[in-house]
Amino acid sequence: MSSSVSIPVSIASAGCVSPLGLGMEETSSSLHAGTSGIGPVRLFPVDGCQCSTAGQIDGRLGEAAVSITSRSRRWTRAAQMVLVAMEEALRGCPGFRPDVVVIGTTSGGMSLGEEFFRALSSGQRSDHAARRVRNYVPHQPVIQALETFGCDAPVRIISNACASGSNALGIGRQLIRDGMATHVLAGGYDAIAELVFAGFDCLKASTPELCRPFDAQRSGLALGEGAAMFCLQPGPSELQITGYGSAIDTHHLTQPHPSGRGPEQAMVAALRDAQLSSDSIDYVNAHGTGTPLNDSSEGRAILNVCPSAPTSSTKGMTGHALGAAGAIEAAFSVAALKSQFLPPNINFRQGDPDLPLNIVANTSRSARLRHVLSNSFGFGGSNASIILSLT
Amino acid sequence: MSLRIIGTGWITPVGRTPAEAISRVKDHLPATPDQPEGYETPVLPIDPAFIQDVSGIPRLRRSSVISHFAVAAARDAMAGISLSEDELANLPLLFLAGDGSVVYTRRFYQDIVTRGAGSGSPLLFPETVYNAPASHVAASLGLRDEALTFVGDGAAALAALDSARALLLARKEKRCLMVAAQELDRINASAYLRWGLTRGLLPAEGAGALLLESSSTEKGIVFTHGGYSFGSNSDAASKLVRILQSIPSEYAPDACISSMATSNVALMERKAIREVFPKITFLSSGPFFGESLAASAMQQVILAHHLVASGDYRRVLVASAGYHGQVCATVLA
Repeated sequence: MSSSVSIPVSIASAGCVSPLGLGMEETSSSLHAGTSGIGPVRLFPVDGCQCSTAGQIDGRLGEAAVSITSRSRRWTRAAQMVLVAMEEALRGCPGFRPDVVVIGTTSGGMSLGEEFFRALSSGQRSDHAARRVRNYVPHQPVIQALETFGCDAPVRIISNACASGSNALGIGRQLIRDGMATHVLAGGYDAIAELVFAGFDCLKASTPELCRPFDAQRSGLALGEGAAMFCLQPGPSELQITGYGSAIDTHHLTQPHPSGRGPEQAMVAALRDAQLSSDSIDYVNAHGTGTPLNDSSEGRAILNVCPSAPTSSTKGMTGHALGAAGAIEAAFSVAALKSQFLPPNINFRQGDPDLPLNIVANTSRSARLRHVLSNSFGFGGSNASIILSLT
Repeated sequence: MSLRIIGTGWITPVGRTPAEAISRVKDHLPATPDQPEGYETPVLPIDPAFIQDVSGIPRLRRSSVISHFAVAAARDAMAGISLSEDELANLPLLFLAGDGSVVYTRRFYQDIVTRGAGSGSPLLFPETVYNAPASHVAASLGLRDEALTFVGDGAAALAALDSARALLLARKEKRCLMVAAQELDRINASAYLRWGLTRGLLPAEGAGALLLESSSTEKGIVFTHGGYSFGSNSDAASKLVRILQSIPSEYAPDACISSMATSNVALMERKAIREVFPKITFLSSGPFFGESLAASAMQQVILAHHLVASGDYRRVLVASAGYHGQVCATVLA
């Protein structure tokens, strides 16, 4: 339980790259239009997997990164995503110098770890791979990007599975609210990797069909990727992070408790932290992976906490970006608040009779939004909710 | 505000109980290196007998050994204090992963590479996430509040003490549990060998756990710092000097626990410490704990705590310029 709010924490600027586009403007426009960023996996072979699609950032990523620094030509895709999102966030708040950087990720530089393993196993190019694998550590993409902007702030890497991005924003907010920092760069990143793709596939969590969050016939998730970064600073402003709640549900390593007790505890804690009643929430950006178990557990929690709030999962458009999801979806929530619309839950055909939620089905809608609650949950029973407000 | 240490637990290459590990350090009886099959370098593994009591826990039946280390250390840290179910439910957990569950990660990926993308094991994959050990610790102890997993090296572990301080300042509950763990596999041992970063220091595994309580006394962990990122060894040196110069004079340490590695960054680290504290005594932990990233840093903090508690030293510094490009320091009094 947190102590009472002392210092308001404002979002001075944001940057985002996702399967919906490069930059906040393109992202917001695709989000409003209900565009799907899911397509065939291009980066590695998926023969033998039941799922063959994912949300991937298009080929412009490398170009966008190189336009910021030519050194990024040799970086991993994950590092390029971090660079492009960070550049946009810092450009939006000239003079911003973070005291601390808090970033959520699950995979870090996984592609380099894969490369190192293959090199060791085959005995080929192992020296080259050994040099490159130094960048495997999840700090490295962030440090590389920070160096580009002449910044040496300490980097905290949070890896709370798929809740990591929301945890990073929540921790960043706490540091400012409690007077431990004045300028925090917070966010998340994750790039699609072969190991992770095969992992979700072997769990039969990925769908061979379309990802349909909260649909009665939902059959699983699609993976995604991306990065989002936020410049946070003290003081009131138009856009603030007003609440954060986090809780662990130890029912099972990969399955939430069917009652939704973990998600509910996180949502209630976020509302309490924001000193808001549940009926003040104008929109719930759900975790909504599209797996039967996640949506059922989260749906129950939403029904218990804010049953009438318009709700959508944006993962039908983007796929699940794992450790980056919370940050990317916070960027979507910022877009929704700024442009006053409810992002759509695409691929929705029929509501689940056990989950009578107020789903924003298939097309976006204009709405007056002041407070948005965004959920992120993950393996290990990690649950995090944040509230973003237009003041 | 200081952080009083009210419970400790560690699984080290030289023992599990404080008495056995500290006597090995004081008598200078280093850990015995081993080179398991498939490894390119000798390492300091953990004797499986040290964690026998937790390997039978049903929840840990399928988990990788990193979770066994974490649960065993956490249980030892909690052993001396009796908390009610409610107090446990409200106890936050900070878990520090170095390389995470690297054994299962390598095995899972090996299956994919050798047998195809569709052949991964659903039993291995969930355990590969960095926060799996934290989930097992929470389940084992009945924790239901915030559980945060930070990834990093020794410096990240020391910076996490600063995060713990921030967390306790902000909350009504005044205790938190911090656990760091690392496991060895031939792939991370090979990576360290090829990087040349473990000169004079063997890759190791194990865990360290601290039960912390906020305190207004000047005992326990009296100085923490958020750390800095660095790009080169000279950059790390200047930033470590900045951190050390910010230690209030009343907390100036008389000893420093150091891995005493011979890598360039470790040599730089000691030079920087001597520059600020010329009379400081260096105590070597490397032969006993080896290099296990966040876990060995946590073990250094626990060793410092015991040396201060036993009156061997008044104030002990633990500092680290780590592989992940972070530099940090803490002082115990």
